[in-house]
Amino acid sequence: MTTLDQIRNCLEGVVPAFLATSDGEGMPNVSEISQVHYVDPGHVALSYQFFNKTRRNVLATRVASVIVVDPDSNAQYRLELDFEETQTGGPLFEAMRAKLAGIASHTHMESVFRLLGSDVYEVRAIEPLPSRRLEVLRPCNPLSAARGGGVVDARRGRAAARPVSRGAGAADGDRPLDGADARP
Amino acid sequence: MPSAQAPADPAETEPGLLPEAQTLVEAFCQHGASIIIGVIGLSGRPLAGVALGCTEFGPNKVRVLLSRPLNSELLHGLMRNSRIALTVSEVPTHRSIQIKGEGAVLLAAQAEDLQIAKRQLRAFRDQLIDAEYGEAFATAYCRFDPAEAVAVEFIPRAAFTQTPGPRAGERMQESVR
Repeated sequence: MTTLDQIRNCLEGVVPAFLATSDGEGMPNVSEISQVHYVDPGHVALSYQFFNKTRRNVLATRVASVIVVDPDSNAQYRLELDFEETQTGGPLFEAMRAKLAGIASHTHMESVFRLLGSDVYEVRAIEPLPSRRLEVLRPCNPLSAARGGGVVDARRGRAAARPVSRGAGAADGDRPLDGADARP
Repeated sequence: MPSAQAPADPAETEPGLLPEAQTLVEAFCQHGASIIIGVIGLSGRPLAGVALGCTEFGPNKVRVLLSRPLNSELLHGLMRNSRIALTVSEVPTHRSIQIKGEGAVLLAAQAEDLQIAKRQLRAFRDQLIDAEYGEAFATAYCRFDPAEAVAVEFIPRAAFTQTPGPRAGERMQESVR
């Protein structure tokens, strides 16, 4: 069973994520996104930067699918998401804005990336995908857990772990990641 | 959810694509690009997927290669709802184009598909290394088993600029007419 906490390294914004939505008529839309932000054990937040097709689709259907990739192990997961709300201020928004600024700087997109809101989604399921994985020895970085815990408390005061898993296969060989992000 | 009574969006029903979109996508793929797809799954929810390569890109037919194990749920969804979205992104510039189409069918991968996909993935791997993702990660991300590859062909209906920014989602035909 895979939990959101086990795949925290996929949520550091190193590798873009792939987001699929659909409009009210069932036409899919797919785009790369720069940030899938860990909120709590059952939620992630995506950055809302423009009122584009993705945004319109999410408001219309309130569902999405996103693939996240671990930049060290190449582990890949597909998350099934239900849109809950948009936050335009507060600790979660500020944390995402700071992180987005870092991603924009690294990818030379400073003039493009501007956070308008944090779209919070419930993670309904996590499906491990059978990607080619690299063996990674990753020490735990307590700073990562501390950062995430602060956001949890500020947003809802809710931190109870909620298993969100579907499928098997590659998950069986997963090495627990412990929410670490101790890349060099 | 799809609605049988809803009028069709004219922006997504015209057949064919402008040469501009074809040229750009071919160039992106040749130089190494991220290729992702979106479909509607059996549950009616959208599903994101990753493609190995875009092996044919004509005005009336697009052919992509997928890893069957990596996209099994997505391929099942395509058999029920043949509408598909495909986005091709150039790594160094983030320039992206999204193609929306319909009539997707699953076909056996041919030897030529595999050759083209290998060439594109080699170029993509080099782009990822240049972007400092690391050789081990780039190699693992771009590796595939030819025996697991399957082709998907569909009819393109429209192309959209998908480069990050306020113009993302703008239909390419509109921008050049």
